[in-house]
Amino acid sequence: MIPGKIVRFLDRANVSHAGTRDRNLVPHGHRVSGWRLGADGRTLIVLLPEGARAHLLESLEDNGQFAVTLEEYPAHETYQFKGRYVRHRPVDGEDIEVADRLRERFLNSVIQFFGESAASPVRAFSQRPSLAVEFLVDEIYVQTPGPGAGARLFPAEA
Amino acid sequence: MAVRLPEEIRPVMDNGIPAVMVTCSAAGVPNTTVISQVYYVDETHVALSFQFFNKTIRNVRENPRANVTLQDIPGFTLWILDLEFDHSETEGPVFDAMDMQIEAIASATGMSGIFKLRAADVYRVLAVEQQRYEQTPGR
Repeated sequence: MIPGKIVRFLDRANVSHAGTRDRNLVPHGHRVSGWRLGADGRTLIVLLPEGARAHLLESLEDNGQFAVTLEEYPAHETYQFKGRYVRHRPVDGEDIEVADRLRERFLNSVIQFFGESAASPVRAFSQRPSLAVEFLVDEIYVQTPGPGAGARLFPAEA
Repeated sequence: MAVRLPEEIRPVMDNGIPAVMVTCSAAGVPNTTVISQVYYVDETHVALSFQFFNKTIRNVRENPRANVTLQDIPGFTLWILDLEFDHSETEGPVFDAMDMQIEAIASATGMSGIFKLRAADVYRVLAVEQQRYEQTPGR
């Protein structure tokens, strides 16, 4: 199970990016519009916009490797989730609502620093998702900048 | 073979918005991380800051390929770079310029004393893609 501390973080995080790799070990980055915990507490459902599809499904179906970084801006609290692809599907209404809430959460954080003029570009940046990718979380790493970055949080290091 | 960086990407490298980097270990596990600095070295090379000895650094020593996404949020554009690690510099003009920039970024983001440049990792640019996205007014 994903630890409770991280489950609570999922509700504070406001920006994310995903990574895959192809059969030649070439890495690829993918924009992320939203995320939510799977019903079993062990998977994450990551919501991606249409523009994030390049290399995504072919890489996942080739080798299943998936990594996602989630950050709470502006605190910079950051974790990376690594795991294995389970399935994908088109987004549903609940996914869209999740992504809309996350976009507004990110926007509220950005406006504190950059003012209302940032609203339109930030809303556009947080593109509406079209695809939901579910993956089984095997490992979670601390990525908050500082000396603790890189430590494995889950499963706990011996 | 390296490709040339377009001139219009240079201001995006200096816009202060963090970039995202994806690498992959020799065992085939991808790693994604936020990076604070992408430095223009010349038309076919960029440098990334090596601040902590972390998974990203280990990965590019095992497997030199990397993917970096630069975000031009006011310009409604992403720039996606496919890179290959070339060499690391711990002194010289590129290192000095990046060191000065990293101090400024640390100060501006409340990270003074946490960010410290260990090396400037220089990468060859293998591909550049510009991705514009819709402004979607009214959302």
